[in-house]
Amino acid sequence: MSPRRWAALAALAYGGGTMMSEAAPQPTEAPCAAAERHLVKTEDGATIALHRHPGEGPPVLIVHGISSNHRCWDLSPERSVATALVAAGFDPWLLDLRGHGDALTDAEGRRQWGGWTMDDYGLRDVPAAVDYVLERTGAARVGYVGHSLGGMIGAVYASSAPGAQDKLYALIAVGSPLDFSDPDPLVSGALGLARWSLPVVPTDQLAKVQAAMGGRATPINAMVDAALLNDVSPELRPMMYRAITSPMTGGELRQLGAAAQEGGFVDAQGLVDYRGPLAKVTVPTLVIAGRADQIAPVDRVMAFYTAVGAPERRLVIAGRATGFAVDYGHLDLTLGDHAATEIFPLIAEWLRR
Amino acid sequence: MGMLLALFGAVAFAAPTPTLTDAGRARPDARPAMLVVTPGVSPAAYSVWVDAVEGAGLDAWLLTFPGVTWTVDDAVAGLKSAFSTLSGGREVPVIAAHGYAGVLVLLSAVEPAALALVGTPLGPQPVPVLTRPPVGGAALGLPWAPELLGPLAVEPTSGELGRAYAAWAVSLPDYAPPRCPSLVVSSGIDPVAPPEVVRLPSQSWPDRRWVRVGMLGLDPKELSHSELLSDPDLAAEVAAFLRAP
Repeated sequence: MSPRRWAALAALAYGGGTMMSEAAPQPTEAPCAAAERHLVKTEDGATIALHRHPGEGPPVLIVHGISSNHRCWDLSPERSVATALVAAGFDPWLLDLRGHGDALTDAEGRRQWGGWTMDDYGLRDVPAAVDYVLERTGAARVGYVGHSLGGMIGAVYASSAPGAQDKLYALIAVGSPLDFSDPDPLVSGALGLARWSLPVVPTDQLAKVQAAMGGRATPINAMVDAALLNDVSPELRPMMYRAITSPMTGGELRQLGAAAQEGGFVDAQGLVDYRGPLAKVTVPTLVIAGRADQIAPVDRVMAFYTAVGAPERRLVIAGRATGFAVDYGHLDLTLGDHAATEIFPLIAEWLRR
Repeated sequence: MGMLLALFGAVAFAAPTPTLTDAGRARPDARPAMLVVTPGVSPAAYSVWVDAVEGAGLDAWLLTFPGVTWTVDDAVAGLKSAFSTLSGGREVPVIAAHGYAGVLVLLSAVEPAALALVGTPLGPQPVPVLTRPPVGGAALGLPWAPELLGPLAVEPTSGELGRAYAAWAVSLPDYAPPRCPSLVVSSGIDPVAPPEVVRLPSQSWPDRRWVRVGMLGLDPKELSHSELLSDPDLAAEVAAFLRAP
C-alpha cells in the first residue's frame, strides 16, 4: 500500500475528538414525529419499534440501514418517504430494529446491547414487524422498502423466512449491496478490524462529534460527508447526524466482515449466500442504486437485481447520466435535497403496481 | 480509362491509416508503450500519460487516428498494423488506453506484454444512459454532454465512430479477454465506464487487477472521465503497472 494510502487510512482512524468546536448551527428544518409508536416483541424476546403515519391505503414497512434508525427515512416532513407515501395513498410503518432508535431499549426500559446478527434482523425483527402490521391493519400483504442493510435484511426475510413471500406485495431495496467480491481497500481494511469489534460500537456518539463540527471543513468530517452524502444541504447535516444515527453491533460488523471475505452476503454461520435463495423470490422487486454511493456502489447493488428471481423487477441508477438531477450518495437516496421529487415517486409508483 | 477509374477509386476509398508517433524522448532500447488515443480526443490530452510512461523507463508512442473517415473496422485494422510495426525488432510493447480507445484495443485482439485500460467500458450499461449519438459524417469529441465527462480536449472524428461509441453503451461487440496482465481502472462518477461495466465483465479475465479510484480505494479523489486521463497520480500508477505487471 502506498504511503499516501496509509496516510488516508490513518486519517480515517484518527478520532475527531481533537477537532471539537463550539455548538453546531441550529437545524433549519422541523424534526418529524409519527402519529403512532408501537413497541413489539420478537419471538426471541427482543423489542422493535414501529412508527406509523396512518394512511388510507395498503401498508408499507420501511426499514433503515446499519447504524441508523427510522429517522433516516423520516427526517422532517419535507424529507420523509412516510409523508410522500401517505400522500400517495399508502399506510407507512417505519421500523426501528432492535438496538436502534426507539428500540435502543426494550419495552421494559432495559438497554438492548447487542449479541445478535443481521440474520436476527431478517428472520426475527422483520417477521415480527410484518405480522404486527398485517394484524393491526387487516391487510393480507405489506410492501417492503429497505435502505442499505434494510434492503439486505429484506432479502433475508423474503428468501428465507417461512411464508414471507405470501405476505409481501412489493420489495424495494435502496442502496443495498449484496456483492462483496473484489473487496475495495477501504472496506477490507475496516471490516478486517471487525473481528476485534466491541459488542457495541458507539457510532451514535461519534455522530454527535460529527454534528458538533457543524459545517467546519475539517479532514474528518469532510471524509465522512464524502462517504455518505453528495446532495444534502450543509446546514442540515448536524441535525441529520444527531437524528439518524444509532450504535452498531459487533455481530453486524463480523457478518459484514465475513461477507467481504466470502464475496457475498452470507449468513452468520457462513453457510448460506443469500443471493442464492433470492432466486426463489418472485415478489415484484425494485432495486435503486446511487451513482455516487460510496457505501453501496452500483456494481455491488446490482447483485440484488441480478439475483432476485422475480419476473417483474427493475434496476434504477440514480445519477446525472441516467436523467437525475445529481449523482446520488448513500444517504441522498433517503433524505437528500432531491429525494422527495426523484426517489420517493419511484418508490410510490412501484408500490402501486 | 478503366485503370484511371480504378486508381481513383482506390485513392478515394482507401482506408485511413493511423499515425504512430514517438512521444517524449527517443528510447530505442526501452520497451515500447503504445498509448492509444481515442478518436475524438486530442492527443494533447495524453501529455500526462506520456510523461508518466517515460518516467517509468518505457518508450512512449502515441497512436492517433486523424481525420473524420474512420470506421470501427478501419480503426481496429490500423491498430493491429501499428502494433505489429512497433513490435518489430523490440520487446513486446505494452499498451495503455483511456475510454473508448480501450474497446478498439480489445477488438484488435493484439497481445501486448501488459495492458492498462482506464475508463474503458468492458460491457454494456445495465440501464439506459444519456448518450448523444452524432448525426452526420463528422462528430466533435465524445457522444456525451461535456459536463458529464469533465473538461476534455476534443477534436473532430467520424460520425460513424461517435455513433459506435454511443451504441456500445447498449451492446458491446464480442471480444476475447486479454491473456496478458491487465489493469482495469474505473471511477464511480464516470458515465462512460462506471464500475458495473468494468469490474463485473472483467472478473473472468485470467490475469486482471481491478482498481476503483476514489474513497473506497483509499484515495479521496473522485475522478471524472477526463480526470482519469489527466490525473498524474493515476498516470504514475498505470505506468508503474506497465513497467512491472
